[in-house]
Order: sequence, then structure tokens, then C-alpha cells
Amino acid sequence: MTLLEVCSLELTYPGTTGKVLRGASLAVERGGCMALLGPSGSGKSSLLRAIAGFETPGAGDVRVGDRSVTSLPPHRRPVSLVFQRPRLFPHLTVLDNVALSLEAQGSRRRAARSDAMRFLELVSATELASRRPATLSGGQEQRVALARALAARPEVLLLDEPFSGLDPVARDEMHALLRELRALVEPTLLMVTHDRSEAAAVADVAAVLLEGRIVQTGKLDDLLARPGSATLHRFLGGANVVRGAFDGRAHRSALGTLPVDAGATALPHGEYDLLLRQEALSLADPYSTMPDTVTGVVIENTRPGGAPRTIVDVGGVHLHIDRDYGQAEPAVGAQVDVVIPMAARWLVAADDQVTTAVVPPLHGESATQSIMRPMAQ
Amino acid sequence: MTLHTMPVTRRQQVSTSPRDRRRHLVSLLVAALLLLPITPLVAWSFAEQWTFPAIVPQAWGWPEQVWNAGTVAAFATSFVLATFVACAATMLGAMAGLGLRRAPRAVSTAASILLLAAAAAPPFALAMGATVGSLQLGVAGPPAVAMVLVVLALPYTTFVMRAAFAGYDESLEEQGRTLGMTSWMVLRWIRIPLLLPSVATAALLAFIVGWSDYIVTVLLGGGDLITLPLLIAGAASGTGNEQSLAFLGMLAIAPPLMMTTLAFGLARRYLR
Repeated sequence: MTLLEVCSLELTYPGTTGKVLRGASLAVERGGCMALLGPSGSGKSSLLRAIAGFETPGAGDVRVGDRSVTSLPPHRRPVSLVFQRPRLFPHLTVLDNVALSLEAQGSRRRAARSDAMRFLELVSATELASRRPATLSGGQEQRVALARALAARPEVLLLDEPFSGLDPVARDEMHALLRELRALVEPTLLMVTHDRSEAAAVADVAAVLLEGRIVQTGKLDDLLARPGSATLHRFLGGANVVRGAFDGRAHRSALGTLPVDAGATALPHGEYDLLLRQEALSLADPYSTMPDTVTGVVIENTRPGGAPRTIVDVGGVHLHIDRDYGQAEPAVGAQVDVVIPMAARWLVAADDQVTTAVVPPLHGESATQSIMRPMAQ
Repeated sequence: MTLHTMPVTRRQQVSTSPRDRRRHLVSLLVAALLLLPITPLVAWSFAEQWTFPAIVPQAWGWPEQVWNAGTVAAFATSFVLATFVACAATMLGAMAGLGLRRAPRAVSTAASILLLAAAAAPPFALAMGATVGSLQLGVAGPPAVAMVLVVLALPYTTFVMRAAFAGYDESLEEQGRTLGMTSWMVLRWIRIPLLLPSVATAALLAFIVGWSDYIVTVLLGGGDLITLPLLIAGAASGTGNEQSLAFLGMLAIAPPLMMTTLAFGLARRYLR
């Protein structure tokens, strides 16, 4: 059941002419967690601020449950926002920070302090109760900020890149904590992030915001495998975009003629970009008998983000292929075969126009190339 | 119990590094420099007889000649006047500080220069100017004294409050709102506690302006307003009044010291 629903939200900041949000719409299920992905300046934080009531939208509606909260001030909305900076109150102890949240809901001071301890327990931060925010590490501060936000007992918890300032270890700990919290108290979460791995670690579904519009929603794996445009593919970390022509059966490009899923045969003939996730490609010995291969020459071995990757020149196209850890590094200049599985081939219109689309499950009935038909029209 | 799980005792927490020892030494030196001028004042206050070359007074006694109703009244008058100046100047300074914080940069800079000029100008010149102005407005006596002192204290309170507002993190109020706090709760639980140390500091400075004034009180008070500085000036103009002078000086030091302690206490309480 949908708990948070944002309908066609439009937002323009005073004194500016350009719209920050251009009809953004999304829905989050009760107890679910949606990751809101998007490049810097796409309007992610503005959307969260509009949901929390800090910005007044020019049009559209924000609904929590069955009621509209668009006209309510921030303190009367059943949502809490955890900012990128934890914003703990510096003059109060950790316990009082959390207790204040409960007092704001009407609890008496003594009861609030007692209940606050339970929320600190929830985030494994009871030992911090008597400390001042200035003495906490970044991870500890965010734990307390989470406890404080949960103590306000919001129906929807909004997280605005809360872990982006943390080191990788602390960030992993916070992801684990968030998963535990989800299992324990089942909060409904909408989390802004620009980190795909964070979205994968925490969220059930993801939405991509580009230029103030939600352009795609769905499970993250589905978004990665079948993005709506080459731009979206690149934003989601995809490294391979190959321009070519589709003739009803196969995509013809510098890679050669690659047959495409039967579902795509309904696509009109024309110019298309073939999108290939580097994780879906693999290396094989040259002249191997494996199907779905193209032959090329290794031009570079790199480690973007720590993962081993080989770049292979195939007819002038530089294909990026992620290797498994431990897999032997091919020599630069060596001839190799690149395996391009049929399931990894995804076509999008070459005009790079993104239309709003919900990506169905990858293995569902409609998980075929036919989803792209509206985009090619 | 392993080494890592052993509790750290308080004794172990006290650092005794050479750097800390140097810091303690400097602190002691500063404290000695501040207390040194007060020490003879304390001794003189209770010295019935103290002649050269004796290092300590030859006879001790209570300063009965100044411990009378007139002194208590002057003390009370000074206290009321200084408290009024502190309250009014802090309130106006807070408003001006907030205005300057939000004003365009050019306006804010111009106002800062004016305020600095006012604070740097000789007090007598400022007091004369303000006095002439108030007399031309037809305001005289205690209300005029209070009004002029508020004006003289305003540069200090405005500066302090402007700095306070500049350092105040308004995003904390936003955080409070998203946790369900009403405007009143935000004011009571966030804004006031966080600004309180600065308010106390501004009030302390304004209090000192009002408490220690002599010139304005003499020029505008018209003899109706007898404050502690006037008594001190009277005692200082005569001879053989060392004990009275020292005792009045001690009385004059007490309230600002108490206010300073309070301001520092608030700062320690809220700005850790």
C-alpha cells in the first residue's frame, strides 16, 4: 500500500526563473525504502525539502496515507528529515537531543528522557547518552540523528544523503544499521543518494531524478540493466554505449551484427544506442567456441573504484569489461574475445530522449525490449 | 581484563605534558596580573593605619565612615541604572545586530565603521555630544542619563550580537521544525539557549558602561542622581580617604565580577 505519494510537484525558488522541480512524481510503499538517485543539481534535496514542508511547491500535491499535507507547515507533517549534516543541537547531550524530539510530540521531560534511551538502544548508541555532539565522530553523530528522527515517530523518514560525509567503514556500518532498523521498526524511507552502491545496500526500489523529473523508477538491478537512455545509463555507471542501426533482428555497429532479444523485434527500424553494462560482459580466450562473442585487442587494464577492469578495442569501439577479483589480467595488446550475453543487450533510441517510465521486473512477463517502444516513437 | 578494556582513571586523564605545563603557567601568570592591582585595594579597604615603609597595614578595621545609607543608596542607584542600560542596550543591540546580519554587505560595512568609530572615540567627547543633544531635546535628569548611557553602550552590544547572529546556525531551527517543534518550542529550546552566552556578554559590556559612568551622570544628572562612581570621585578628590576610596572601589568591582562569572558560566554551560 502506498504511504507517501508525490504528484506532479513543481518548484521554483523565489528570485529565480528556472524550475527546480518539473512535475516530479513518485510513490513509496508503507514500510518500503526508495533511493532517490540523480546527479548534482537535479533537484533531489529540493524534492525532499518540498515533501518536508520547507519549500512551497508552485503546483502538485504531497500525500501521506490518504491525506494531502501540501498546505501543512513542517512541524505538522508526519515526516522527519535527516540532513546530510546531522544538525545535532550543540548545547544538549545526546540523550537530551533525542528526548527533545519526544517532548516536541508532547511527552513529559522525565518520560521523554526514559524513552529516548530506548531509541538510542535502537541505534546502539546508549554509551553516548551523556556526551555532547562536539565530542562525537561523524558516524556516531548520524546514529544519534537517526535515533532523534525516529523518536519523532514520523510516518515517513526522509534521508538527505546522510552518510555521504562518512568514511567507507562508517558508511557500511550505517547501511547495516539502516537494514536492522528496517527489520525492527519498518519505517517508510525515502533516501537521497548519488551512490549506486548505497542505494543497492539499503533500498528496495530506486527512482532517478533528472532535471527536476523522475524519469525512471523500479528495482535498482532493473534500472541498471535497462535504463531509459544513454544519459541515464552513464549516470548509473554504465560505461559502454555503442551507436548503430537496428534492422528488426539485430543491431549493426562497429562491434558487428549482434542479434537482439526477440521482444525487440517490434521496435521500428532506425538508429539506436546499444547499452552494455560492463559487469555483464566477460573475457574469453581468443577463438573460443563460446557464443555471443566479439574479438578485440586489450588496450588498458584499470581499477576504477577498486574493481579490476579491462578495456578492449573492438573495431574502434572501446568496450569496458569488469573482471572478477582474482581473474588473470590479460596483457595489453593481447587479442581476446569479449562475451556479450544476449540478456545484456539493451537498445535505446539514439536521440537520448528520456521518457518517464516504470521499469518492470527484469524477469517478469514484460521484461523484454518492448518496454522501449514508446521511447522510439 | 585486557589493556584495551581497562577503565581510564581520572588521575590518568590529567595531562602533564610540557605543553600543558606551559599553558598552566601562562594561565597563572595572567591570573596574577589581574589580581595584583586588586590585592592592595583589598588591604587598603580594611586598613585603619598603613604608612610608609610598612609592607602590610599596621592596624586593621571596618571602614565605618563609608559604610552608611548614602553608600548603599548610591550602590543601589548605580545597580538599577546599569541594569536598565544593560537590558535596553542589549535588546536594541540584538535588533541592530540581526538587522546588520541580514543587511547588504555595503550597508553592514558602513554601519560597522560607524560603530567602531563610536567605540574608539574619546568617551568624554561622545558623552559631551550626547549630553548636548539630549539637553536640546529637553530631556534631563535620570531619564536623560539612562538614555545617553544606552546610546554609548550600543556599539558594544551591536557588535557582540552581530557576531552572535553571524555564528548562529539557523539550520538547527529547521531541524527542530522537522522534529515537530512549534515556533515557540524552537525559540525556547534552540534559539534562546544558543544565543544566551552572547546575550550575557553583550549585557555585561553594557552593564559596565552604565555601572562605571561618571561624566554623563555629572553632566546630565543635575545632582539628583548619586551613583557609586560619583562617591568614588568625591573620595578621590580629598586627602586621607584612602580606606574609603579603596572600600568604594571594592564595592564597584563586585557586580561586574559577578556578571563576568555569570557570563562565563553560561558560555561554559552552552558552548561546549
